[in-house]
Amino acid sequence: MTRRTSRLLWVIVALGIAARVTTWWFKGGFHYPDEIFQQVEPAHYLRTGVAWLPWEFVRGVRSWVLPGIYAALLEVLSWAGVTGLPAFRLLTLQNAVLTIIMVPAGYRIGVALWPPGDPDTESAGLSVALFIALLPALVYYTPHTLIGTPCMVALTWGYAHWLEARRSDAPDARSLLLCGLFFGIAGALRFTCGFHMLVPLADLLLRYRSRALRPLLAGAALPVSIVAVVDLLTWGWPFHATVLHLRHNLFEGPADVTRPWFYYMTDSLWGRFGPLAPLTCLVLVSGLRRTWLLALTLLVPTVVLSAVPLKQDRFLMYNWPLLAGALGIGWLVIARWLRGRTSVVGGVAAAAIVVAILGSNLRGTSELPWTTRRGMFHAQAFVGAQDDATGLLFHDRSHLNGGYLVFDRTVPQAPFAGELLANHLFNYASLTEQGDDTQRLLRMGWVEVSRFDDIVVLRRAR
Amino acid sequence: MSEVPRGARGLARLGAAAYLALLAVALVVVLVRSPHPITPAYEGTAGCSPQDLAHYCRGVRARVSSYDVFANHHPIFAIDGRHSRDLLEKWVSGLEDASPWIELLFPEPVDFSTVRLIYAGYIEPGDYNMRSYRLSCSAGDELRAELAVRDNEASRAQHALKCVGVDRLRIDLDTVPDTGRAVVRLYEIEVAP
Repeated sequence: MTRRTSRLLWVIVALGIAARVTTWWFKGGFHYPDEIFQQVEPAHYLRTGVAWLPWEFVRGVRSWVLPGIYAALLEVLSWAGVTGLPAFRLLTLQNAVLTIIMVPAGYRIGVALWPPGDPDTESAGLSVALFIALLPALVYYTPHTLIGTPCMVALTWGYAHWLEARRSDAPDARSLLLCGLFFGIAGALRFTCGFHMLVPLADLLLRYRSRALRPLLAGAALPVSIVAVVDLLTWGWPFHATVLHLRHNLFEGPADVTRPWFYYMTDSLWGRFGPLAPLTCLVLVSGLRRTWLLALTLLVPTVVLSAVPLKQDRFLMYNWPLLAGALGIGWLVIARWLRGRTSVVGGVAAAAIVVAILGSNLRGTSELPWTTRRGMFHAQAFVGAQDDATGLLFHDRSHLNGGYLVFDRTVPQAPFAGELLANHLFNYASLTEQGDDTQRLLRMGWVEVSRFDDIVVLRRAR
Repeated sequence: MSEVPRGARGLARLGAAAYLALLAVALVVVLVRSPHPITPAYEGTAGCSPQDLAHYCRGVRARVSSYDVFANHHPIFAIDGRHSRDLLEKWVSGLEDASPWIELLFPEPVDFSTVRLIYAGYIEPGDYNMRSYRLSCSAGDELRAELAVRDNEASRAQHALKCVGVDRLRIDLDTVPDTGRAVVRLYEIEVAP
């Protein structure tokens, strides 16, 4: 890597951090309740013994590995006096900033995808790094505590080592080992990540036969063993959570919202590309033409998950690093072609294409739930900070808010129910502005003390 | 393979090692501590009933070995002064808790002679009532009185326990797996002078 490339990569890293912090700043509430109740709320339970745990932690459908890590982080924050909503916000900020390590992986993916020895090889690395640093649909998922967020990071590094490993005729033991390690982390944390590594693994095994197997298995052994041991200690047998998760999803039909088979193509992909989706697709195809393996790696999980009734954007978040890779390569191909025609205008046009793709993607990504339940989170934190709070009644079901981590107070909170009004323990309520329950409480003499977004905080009259 | 400046790589490794070490220490602290839920302390209010010294409005706190975090049966329901018919408003011990207990922590030394326990049997099946348990009161680490109950069947159990100048009442309950008493279901604790 030349000194100039190194400097540019650091600039891209700085831009990526800025994009992630900005995304974190505008993000509120949750993307999906699982990131609270299957991750940080169990972590809060480990720390304090107080929480709402979902049914997954009754049956052992989830591993305690990530909640254990979050519990340690929450403990460290508590040493600095940071608890509750600020602690949750700092966890999401940490996740956002840590995902910046995908950028150097992106650089290596770009270099690995470009012909070695070509004068633009390092530019390919920088181009892919830039898209991984700034692509809004990817950056959107970084300030979250979804299981998918660390999986996405691990998969990206796994892809980088896969592409580097396959460049040599003889198997590169170190690359294969690291490929196994990162794929092992991703697969151990979330089994369905396995769909995203089927093609790379098949490619390596076909290419190097059994010589690839040993380093891949050796690399995957550590993360897989950790998950197995934690499951053994907590649920009674190794891979308990993985097996039950699969059984639940494949045979027990968890889907309460089903979407058409083409949802991922129309909404999760075309929709996120935004108004300039045709231009984005053109660049994407230019990049994917370079390697059909990349296209196949994207296609396999998309097709497999399209066959499952339950579809959500987050299930395909792992596609974004490779899409960023294909966009980076495609953009460089087009930029070279433009530059060959007329250097100045071509350079401006190439820069305009980057801005257009990112801007359009930002528009498409703006349709994702950026601030779901933000008002409720702030209302819970507000009530939790009141010295006289002995109980909270809130709008909607139990698992659609910030839980006890955000509430940060060891008193009951419960979904609003008229019969609970008889218990004066419940002296605060956080309800929707226009809801009938709000009007009812106001008529009963409750007093509005604050409001956050569409949530009104009421206090029982003293 | 791309080359990363050696200094940056060394710094990254050092940072990662320090970060992981910090997390490991914190995780050990969390696991060793094994925290017990405790309700907040409230300032005593003038309107509290003189007949119930265990009410949270007197600044009493409830600490428990565990509670049913899946169903929200919070320990403070045991000291809220209500004989509710709402099934939510009771303390239920954790499903995995083989030795459940509840402690009432008084903000200042109190004297009492009677402890009343309202078990689930008063509105739920009678075999939810706890049969075997031990009550003890203490001042600091000094045990002042204790009482072992072996064959309770009452939903509203009343026990004479003479305690003077104590700051803590503790109840250790014996659960019986695969029965109605596999967990503790306690609606109220009342402590009377």
